[in-house]
This record gives sequence, C-alpha cells and structure tokens, in this order.
Amino acid sequence: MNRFSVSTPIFLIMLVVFLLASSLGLVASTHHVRDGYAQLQSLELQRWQLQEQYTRLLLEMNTWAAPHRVGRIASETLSMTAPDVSLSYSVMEP
Amino acid sequence: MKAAPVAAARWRYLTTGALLIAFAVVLIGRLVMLQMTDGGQGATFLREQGAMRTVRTAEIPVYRGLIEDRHGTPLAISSPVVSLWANPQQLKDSPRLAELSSLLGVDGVMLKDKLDLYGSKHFMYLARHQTPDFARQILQGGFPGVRGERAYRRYYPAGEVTAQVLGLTNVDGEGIAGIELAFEQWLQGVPGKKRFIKDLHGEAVRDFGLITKPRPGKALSLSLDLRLQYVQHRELQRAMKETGAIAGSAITVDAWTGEILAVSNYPVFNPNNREAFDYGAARNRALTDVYEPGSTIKTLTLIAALESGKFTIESLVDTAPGRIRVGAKVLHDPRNYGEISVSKIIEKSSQVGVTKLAQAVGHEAVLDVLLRFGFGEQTGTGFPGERAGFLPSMVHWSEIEKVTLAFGYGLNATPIQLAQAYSILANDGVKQPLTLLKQERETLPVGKQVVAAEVAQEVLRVLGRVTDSGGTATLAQVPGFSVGGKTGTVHKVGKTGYLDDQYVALFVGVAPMKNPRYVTTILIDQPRGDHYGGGLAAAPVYSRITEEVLRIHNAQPNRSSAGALVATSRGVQQ
Repeated sequence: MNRFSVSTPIFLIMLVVFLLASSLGLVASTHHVRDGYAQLQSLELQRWQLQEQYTRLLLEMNTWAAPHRVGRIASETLSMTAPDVSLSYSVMEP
Repeated sequence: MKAAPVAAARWRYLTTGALLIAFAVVLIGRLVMLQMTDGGQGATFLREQGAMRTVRTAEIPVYRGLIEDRHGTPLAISSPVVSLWANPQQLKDSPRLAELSSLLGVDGVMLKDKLDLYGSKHFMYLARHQTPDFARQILQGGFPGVRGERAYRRYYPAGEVTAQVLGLTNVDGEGIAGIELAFEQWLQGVPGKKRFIKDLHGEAVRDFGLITKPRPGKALSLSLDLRLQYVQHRELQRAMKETGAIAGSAITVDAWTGEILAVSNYPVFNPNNREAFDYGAARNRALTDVYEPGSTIKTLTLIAALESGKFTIESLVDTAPGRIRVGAKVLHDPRNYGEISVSKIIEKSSQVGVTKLAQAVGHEAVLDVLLRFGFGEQTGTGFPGERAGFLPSMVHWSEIEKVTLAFGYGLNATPIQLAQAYSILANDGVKQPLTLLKQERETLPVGKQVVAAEVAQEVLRVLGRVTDSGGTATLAQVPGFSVGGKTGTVHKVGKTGYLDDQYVALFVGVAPMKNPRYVTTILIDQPRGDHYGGGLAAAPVYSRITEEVLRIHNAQPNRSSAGALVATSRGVQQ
C-alpha cells in the first residue's frame, strides 16, 4: 500500500487528463471530418457547376464558330469572296 | 446469540454477490458475443441491420468521352443535366401538385395518374435530362419527395452535318448507332460507386469512401474535318434541290493515309431533337447502302486490260458500227465512235469498246481486279451496318453476264468501296485501309500493293482526260486544278427489272492530278428531269466539293495565269 500511496492519485489524474484529452481529440477530429466532408461536397458541387459551365461555353463557342455561320458572315456581311485562281500567285521555294 | 444473524447475513451476502457476479459475467459474455463474434445474431448481423437503416450506395455518374474532328473541334459533348424524380408516397397527396405540373409543363391529371400508378413505389422519374438551371428552379420549390439526380446528356454541336456518321446514344448514355456504337467501349466511362451515411431526411452526412473509382470515357479523335463536312453537307443539299433527287451521298478520302475526311448523306436528321426522328434519315448511306456502280467500274476493266499485256492506253479498238451483239442482247454506244484508243473508250464511256476489252481479257481477270480493289468485302472502318456489297460467283456465266460485270452491272457496292478503289489508283497502287480515326504519320498501317504503280499512273492519266473537254465529265473540272474521274449512270431496279426512267448518278474523282491525293465519290439517287446522268447530276457536285477540299488543304494550283513567285531570304520576288 505504501508503495502506491503517492503515485496512485497522480496516475489517476493522469488517466483522467488523458481521457479528457482523447475525448476532446475525438470531438475535434469528428468536427474536422464533418467540416472536411462539407467542404468536399461543396467542391464536388463546384466541380459539377464548372463542368456545366464549361460544356455550355464549349457548345456556345461551337455554335458561334460553326463554319456555315462564319461563311455566311464572310460573304454577306463582310462581302468577302474566294480569290479567283487567275489572280493568285504560287509562291515557291528557290 | 449474536453470531447467528452475522452468519446468516454473510450467507446472504455471498449468495447475492455470486448472483451479481454471474449476471455481470452473462452480460459481459453477451456483449462480447454481440460485438465481437458472429454467433447467432452477432456482430455481422447487427452491423448489417445498422447499415440497412443508414448506409446507402450511390453511383457517381461519369461523362462519356468527347468526340472531336481531326483539328480538335468537338463533335459530340456530354453535358451535365439533372433528372428530376419523386417519391410518389410523399408527393401524391401534396396540395402543390398543380403548381408542380405547371412548372414541369405537363398535364396535371396525367401527373396525378402517374403518381397513382406508382403509388406503392418509392421512386418515379418526373422529367429526365433537364437543364441544370431548370432543375434547380424545381428543386428550390421544395416540393415534398422531389429530388434531382445528376446525369449527362449527349449534345452534337454540328447537328445534322455529322448526324449519320456520329450516330446516337440512348437515354442511358449508351451508343446505339454510328461511331457512338462502334467505339462504345472506348467512349463509355465506368461510373464510380460510393457508400455514405444518410440522415433522417435522406441527405448524405458522411462518405464511407469509394467502392469503385469513377473512370470517365476517353476522347476520340476522328479523321473527319468539320469544315469539309459542312461543305459536303451544303453542296449535297444544293444538289438535292437542283436535281429533285430523293437521296444522295458524298465521301472524301485521303488516299495516302486512308483517312475518311468527310462523309455526308441526304436525307438528314437533327440528332439533338429526337421528337421528329426518322430511321431512314439516320442511315449513313455512303457505307450502309449498296448500288450497282455502273460505268465507274470501267476503270477497273481498264486495269484488267492493261495488266493483260494485250493493250496499252493508246491501243486502237474498233467500235464500229456503234453497237455489238452479246448473246441475245445488243449493246449500243450513243453514236458510232469508229476506231478509237483504249483511253478514248473510257473518256467516252463506250459500251462497245468496254465490251470488246472485257471479251479480250475474260471476266475472270475483271473479277480478280474487283476482288483486289476491295469489292465484295467491307473496307474495315468498323462502322456498324457497313455492307460488303456483292460480287457474282456463278459456276456458269452467260455471255452477257461476263461483259455486264465489266461495265458495272450484276454486282453492287457502297460509295465508300468506290472511294477506296479509286484511292488505290491515287496512292500508286497501294491499298491503304480506310479509317474513321485520325492517323499519325508514324503509326500509319502499311498498305498493300494491289496493282503496279505504273498501271495506276496510266489509269489516272486516262481519268484526267475524262474531265477534259470532249470527255463525259467536263462539269467536274475545278478552276486552277486538273482533276480526274469517272462518271456512272445506272438504271435503278424495280419490280419489273431495270427501270427506264429512274437512275442513280455517280461520279468518282481524284484530285489534284499533279499530286493525286483526295478521292471523292458523289452519288445522287434518282435525279429528276433531263440532268440525270453522272456527268450532269453528280460531276458538278464533285467540282464544288473538290474546290473546297483543295483550298482547305492548300493544294498548289497547276494553272495560274498570274504567274509564280519565288521565296527568298528577303521576301517574295516575282
């Protein structure tokens, strides 16, 4: 009995402190997980929305740049024509 | 006297203590059993029961691979959409049904009927593949039991211009036609799976982690050039209007690499609008429909004649008096050409001349050339529904059957087979496998020499004369370039045999003759009016398409009245 009289309370206090610390740690890590998960979800949503936007822009770009539209604007609005072969020069390497 | 109660109390004390310890042991034992062992309704059972109530498996949708043309322009894109679904048990008695049906644009009674039909279920689609903005608007309305499910929908930016070659996907995103079907394994991704814990409202609270990782589909680079697709599409539409034909096809091939640069058909359909879907218009006729190739085969008869050693392109053949009897049939030329060269026979497309060539070399030689040039077998593009065509293989040939083969009757072929045959000529006699995929110079498959390069060049010389003045295809000429080709005008087959007033007009051309590379087949099915022949209905379409093909590929004109410039280190000098 004598042997434990001094160290037992300290040992017990230490155990209690460890217990408290690990409980708090558990609470903190659970919070981190939830926090991280919420962040993951919002990033996934963001990725989805960005992809949504990207494909919409891609479709839009292709609609604006469609060869038939470009051709129509070139000939109708800008009055462009393909150069006549009789007016074109061939450039040759010496 | 005092010792007895103490003894009794001690006995009671020990008994109670033992019972309590026994209870504790039983409890601990049961606890160990439930938590750690699988005996009875043990740990596994409990875990499963718990999971059934909270853990759910969700699919992570993946997008289908992008299809792009040879320059990276997207032709098929998977765009995120939202499928709206409902739990009928939660929604069917909602007082806001009318509001929901008007937002969805569906009939309120029909929605109610559908909810009643699925009343005992927990899942029912309300509207699939809605735009994210629209779906958000519905979901923010907070209708009971209404949820959204992420998905992808296929869009085709070029619409009807590439419709038949790209094909289609079904509502579940699986390829069902065209390239979408042919390269399904490559394009289709593998959806991921994850487990998560849900709360009381069915919302995800925590992910358990991935079961399978999502693997999006891979991108596919085609050999097609979207600009050329547009040109073909435009010119084919124009030809349909001008000739009043019921259908048409055009296909352009790069003979050196075997790449199909463009392939178009008429009628067309819009792949982005399935409501007015027409199966006939969805066919990629240039690959899936067979026709008798007619006079375009005379070029191959010429090859057989040259290979026999009995003829050169300048050998003279007497076609007088402009007709020839074969068996019970008499074959006519439009007029008596008299004694003409082998080259002239092809230039004028003389029936009598070709018959004499065919009789001199025999039908086996012509059949052998047809086989070597890929007739009667698929070209190997892997396109779903591609036909192999038909080559006759009778034991006994009648006299007329032997010669009709030489001018393209009695066999049938697809427009792509004709393009392949003429590509061999443009590629010095080497048969390069045709493909719809973009090829790299380093990994180009090795072609097979099927005819001597000298013979191919001789034949091309003749084809060049067909489009010169006096030939049958002057309308195929391209300003600034010399081109070559062969026309074909074929009677269509009806219930009573060949029809006198219905034709298929064909033209297969090679350009530029200076450096032959681009081969285009034009087929106009049933042109009306007087301009029904290959030289009048198909050759002008070839000319307009080839002009653009050569311009896009920066081909050097061989006739330039403005002259030539020489590049020097100080710029360009005349």
